[in-house]
Amino acid sequence: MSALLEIRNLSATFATRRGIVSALSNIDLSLAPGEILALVGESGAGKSLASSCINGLLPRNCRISEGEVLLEGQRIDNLSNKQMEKIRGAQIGTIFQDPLTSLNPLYTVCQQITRTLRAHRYISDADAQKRALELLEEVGIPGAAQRLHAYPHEFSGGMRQRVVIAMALALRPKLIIADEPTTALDVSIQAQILELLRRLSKDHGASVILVTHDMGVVAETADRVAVLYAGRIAETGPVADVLLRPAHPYTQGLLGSIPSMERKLARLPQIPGSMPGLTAIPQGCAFNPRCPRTADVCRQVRPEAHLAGARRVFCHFAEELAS
Amino acid sequence: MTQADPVPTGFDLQASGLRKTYDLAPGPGRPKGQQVHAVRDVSLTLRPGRTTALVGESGCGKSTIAKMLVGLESISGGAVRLDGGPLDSQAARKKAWDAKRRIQMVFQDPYASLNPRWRVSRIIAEALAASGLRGGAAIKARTLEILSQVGLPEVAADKFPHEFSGGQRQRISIARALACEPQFLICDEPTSALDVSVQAQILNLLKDLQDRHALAYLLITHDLSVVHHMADHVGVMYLGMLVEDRSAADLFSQPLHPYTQTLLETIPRADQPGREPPRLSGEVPNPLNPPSGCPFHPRCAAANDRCRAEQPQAIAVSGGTVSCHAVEEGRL
Repeated sequence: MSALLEIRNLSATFATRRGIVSALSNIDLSLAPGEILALVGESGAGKSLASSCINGLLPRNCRISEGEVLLEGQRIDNLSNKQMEKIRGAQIGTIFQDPLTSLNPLYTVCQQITRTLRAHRYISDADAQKRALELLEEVGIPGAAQRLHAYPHEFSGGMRQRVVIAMALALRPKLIIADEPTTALDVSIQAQILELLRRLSKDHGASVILVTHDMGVVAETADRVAVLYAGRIAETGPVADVLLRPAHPYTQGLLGSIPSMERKLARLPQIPGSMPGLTAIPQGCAFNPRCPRTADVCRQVRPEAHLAGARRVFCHFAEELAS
Repeated sequence: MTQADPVPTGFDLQASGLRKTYDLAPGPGRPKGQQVHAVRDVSLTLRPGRTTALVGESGCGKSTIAKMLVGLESISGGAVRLDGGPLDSQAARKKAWDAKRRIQMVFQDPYASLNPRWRVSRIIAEALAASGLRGGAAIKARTLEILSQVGLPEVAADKFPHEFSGGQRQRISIARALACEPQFLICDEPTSALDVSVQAQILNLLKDLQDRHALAYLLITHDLSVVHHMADHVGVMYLGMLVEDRSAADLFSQPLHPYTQTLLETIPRADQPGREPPRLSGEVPNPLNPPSGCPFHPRCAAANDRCRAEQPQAIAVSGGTVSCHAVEEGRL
């Protein structure tokens, strides 16, 4: 099956007062139809930026400096804003982190959904309303018919996120980008929203890019995962492989520092130091100053992808560490 | 680092039957005199060297309890006792806090809880001055000592908060709280704003400091894996009430309350990819209009008529108490 989305050798830069800094460097990813790919990493790793390169919602001082993004074989990274507007919503739906700020408080949810529909299609008011109601029912809002004309503040956080998902789904996009969709929600609500995402992806064959910092969310939702560090991919592969047998020292460190529910340790293993800023990314492997396995080659040569089964691991010692 | 002062034994901070009721201003569609019961009849004890955790979802009242204990919120009912002496009256509380500064707080957001216009040295010096330390040289020396305790270099003293990462800011926040040499540290979601690798560093630091100074912690968080790692005693809150209040060992090995059970089952687990977690249907009810009887009954699979009508009382179980009719009747 051909890929729905392909990202080839993508690099992005920020123009800052101190000059051009590299924010994403040589990212390669592909996404099959119906697949859920998680982009995971700590703040500043570039996971949100990578998703913005896909839907074209880059910050003003940021641009794609290299590489291409293909949606169903068509390049979309070089389209004008006008052309992207046609794609956003219709082919790429986006779910943002904070359901309160991504809805307009002055319009009813019905108005917001129908507006999305009418921006892309010729559809009568009555039909649009009918469709909005179907969407709200689909995302599991109880009493959808009564709440169609309610304002966002009348919904709880979890219900608001459902409304946002309904809007993202309105035009049946093939690709959904969910940027930290449950970070603002409680655990019991988070579980409901993640299940909804999985179900919708299955029912409609939509692919999902799930941006998150939470390895637990990755484990329960995604099919494949890409771990990002300092704007580069550290490791990518099927979720079970990466989470249960991490091959990159960064992935190993990250997973090790999560408090376990199985056993109680006196101290949590911690990764020394912190992620470098964009202006100070080290030579060679970006992780080398914090890596327990570092050697001379790591300080000089940026690692290529090593294939280990269905995985790609960007570490000089990948084979050794994976075995 | 030399051993700190000998640990004073027998000090404790006790809250019993704590209540907080907010009067709501009348507005469109809201009658006069409506109240929200944010905290209903919560008791807890903090002891030296021990960590008590409060867990629950947003709006369950856990932060309100923290604020009542440090005096940032008034108390609507119940009592807070420090070493057995009441802290209820404003005067008694003021005396206790002014004289001793024994209860300190670490806030959730290290970006909002530090004054962006002050250098770190001034942030900590303010707390030192409040605890009664006088003299520039003494304050400077103590500031550097505290910074090294929380793992920050000496040069940090001359910097501004914005020059630090989130984890380092949380260290500054902890340093400020430690400046008064408190015995009780109230940590309100101390790592929720941090990445996991940084969270590990801060949790390790909190544990080290506890070992060194025999601090009593009240840890408020929604993250059960953090609770599992840190806590000796756990209170699970739902809609302002403690539904289960037990030693951590008992609670995690055999959770009794249906809410605790589902909470434990629904946390996403990185070590179990592909798992389909059971999910809890429904949402936390509106505290303005809480359900009758047990607050959890609309979402509980074991609820019966008694649960819908009668509010459960705490019953003794191994390691603490649980408030559930189903447990009491042996239905669970």
